[in-house]
Amino acid sequence: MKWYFLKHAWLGFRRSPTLTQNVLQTVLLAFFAFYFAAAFFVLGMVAGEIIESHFADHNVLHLAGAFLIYYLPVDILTRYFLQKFPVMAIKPYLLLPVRRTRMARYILLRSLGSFFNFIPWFFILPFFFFYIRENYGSTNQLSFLLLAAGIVLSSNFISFWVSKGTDLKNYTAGIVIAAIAGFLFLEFKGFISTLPYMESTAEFLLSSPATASVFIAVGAVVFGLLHNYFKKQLHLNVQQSQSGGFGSNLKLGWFGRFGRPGKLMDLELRLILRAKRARAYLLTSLFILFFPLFMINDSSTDVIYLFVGLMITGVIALNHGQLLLSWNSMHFDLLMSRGNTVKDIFRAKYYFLALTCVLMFVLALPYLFYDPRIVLYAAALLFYNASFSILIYMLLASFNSLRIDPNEGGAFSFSGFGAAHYLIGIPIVGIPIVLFYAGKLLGGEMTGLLFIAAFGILGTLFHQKLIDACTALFAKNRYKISAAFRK
Amino acid sequence: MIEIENLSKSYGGTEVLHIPSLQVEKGEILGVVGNNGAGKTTLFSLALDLIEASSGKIVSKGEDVSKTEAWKMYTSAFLDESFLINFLTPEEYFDFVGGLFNISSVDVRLSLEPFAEIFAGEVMGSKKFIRQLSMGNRKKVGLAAALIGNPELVIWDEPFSNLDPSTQMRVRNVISRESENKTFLISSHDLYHIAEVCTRVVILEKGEIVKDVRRSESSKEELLAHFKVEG
Repeated sequence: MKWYFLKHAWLGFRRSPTLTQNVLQTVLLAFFAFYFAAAFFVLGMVAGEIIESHFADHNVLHLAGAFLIYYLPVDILTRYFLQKFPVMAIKPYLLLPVRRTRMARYILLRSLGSFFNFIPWFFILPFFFFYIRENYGSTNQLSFLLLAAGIVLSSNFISFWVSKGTDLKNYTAGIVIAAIAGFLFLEFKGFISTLPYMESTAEFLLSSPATASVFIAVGAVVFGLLHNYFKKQLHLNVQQSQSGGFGSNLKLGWFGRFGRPGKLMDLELRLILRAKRARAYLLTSLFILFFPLFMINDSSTDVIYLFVGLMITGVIALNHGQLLLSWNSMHFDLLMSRGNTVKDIFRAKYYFLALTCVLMFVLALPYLFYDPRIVLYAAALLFYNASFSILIYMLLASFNSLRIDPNEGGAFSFSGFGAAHYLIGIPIVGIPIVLFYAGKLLGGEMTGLLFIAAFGILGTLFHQKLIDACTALFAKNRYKISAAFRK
Repeated sequence: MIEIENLSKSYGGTEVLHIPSLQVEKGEILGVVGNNGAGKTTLFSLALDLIEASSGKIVSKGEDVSKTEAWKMYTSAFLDESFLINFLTPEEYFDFVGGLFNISSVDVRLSLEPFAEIFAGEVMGSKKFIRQLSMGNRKKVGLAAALIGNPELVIWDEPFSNLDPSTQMRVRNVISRESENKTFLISSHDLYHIAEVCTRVVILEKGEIVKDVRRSESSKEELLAHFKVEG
């Protein structure tokens, strides 16, 4: 790999518009990164003693090895949603006399620079120096480090492979992720217990540096597979071969009968099914449907149920509504100058998001068989989400809209978010909590839920007026927002 | 049709457009020419209420475009790519625009018949998204969409650029034919086309109108003479 790749990557990063325009967001992200690093570090320091006290009759090294092995699927799952693999970074070089093998190598090695490859070391190294070094011989020390390095390495390339390296990527990735999630769910809920097996595996792997390098070998093999794959794939066609995505052939005229807002809702539906980032947000939101399985247990308090109900019914609206108008930033001039009014646009958005809340509620109905309380809370918060929170998103759109390309970016792409986006969480979550406890004080849990539902119903009754108010506010700021969308 | 009164636009203290008065009659094909940065796109953006005037106003059929939305129903435009919805196929895009005016898919197709030659079989039926089309084809889609729904006022920014010569001629023919019941505002760098198709030409220089020529025997010479450069 030639050094100019790195130099350009650094310059690209330093000069990126997100960095310069959205300083606050960058600072926040840096803060979070620092926080995680520090937390991992502290954890690493004390992990040894904690394991010793809780698992007195186990060999700490083998247990640590077992946890490392568990970390692999968890890490792959996390990376799938959060890690970006900038394959397109080499696009400018395709027309230059740069060898394909060099480019393939660059893409793969560059993925190693991801935050996810550094953060585990904030745990592993302190754990190593504070515990492993004190209590085990040099062979064990080396084996441990090799195993850890192998896990991180193979996690990186396996994740890369799952998200980019397969032609049927949508299906294969989905299956792999579902399998991992399923396994983790069963394991942590106690349905199966693989710990003894993992421990013995770890014991075997840590018995010598050679065996400990197994995962490094795995990583190298996947690296090789990816390298071969990219060598073949690297030509300009790569970008063009975008699948239509779900819904590209569907006749989507369902809302058309509802006048101009209906036509705009049709457009929104096409966008959310077809534009890569919007679709990614949608899929991530649908995953949230499974959250209650992890979050609810016998000791869950009201607040947890509130949160769960809020999330289940409102997550699509949240993910999509946060960037309400930004989704249309690339064709905003069209919407603002032809064939419809601003009120049409806002009405379409409102009804569209409200429908997503209803959809999520319907999808959550099977929880009646698991824990009916979830559905009860979801119902109350459905009324809230389908009216009030959408209004918040509409207000947000009038103040804080940045240009985004809905066709670029993944599930956790952060471009387009400004300071206000982080602040709206406060009213969105805070208001139901306040209402609930007010009602609970007066009459108990059901009253609390009724308060929330009543608040939502009020919002729905007056939704036309409220939409008008948001429209008027937007009209005042329209030039500023249009200008921001053109950048 | 359109009345511009005391229009002025400044960016950070620099005035980029200043038009004290301009009237565009119904049925006129108005050409706006000028060098880069002369203010053509600014003028069109103001006419579509996409940017805010620093002072003055543009009145369409008696109403200030920044105060009402009625003009959006009879005005169409194609200025740049932000008038295209790039994740739709051309057919879906046309249907969408037609749908806003309650025009059925079938009728939309019929109204696009005149563009069949311009599309030359590359635009319709290709199952490609607009973002996957070449620049020229994207332009064709945008220009065609602006004619759906029988708008009374059509604003095209540089309609001839990025098109091959025969398509440019065809676009000229479309303009001539459609202007029977439409008003056109067109900007271009191409004096030849402008001189041939426009009924009136306005030359902008540093934001001011320096010449306003109605079509006549000598209008083409007048235009060319204005832009002459010492050889």
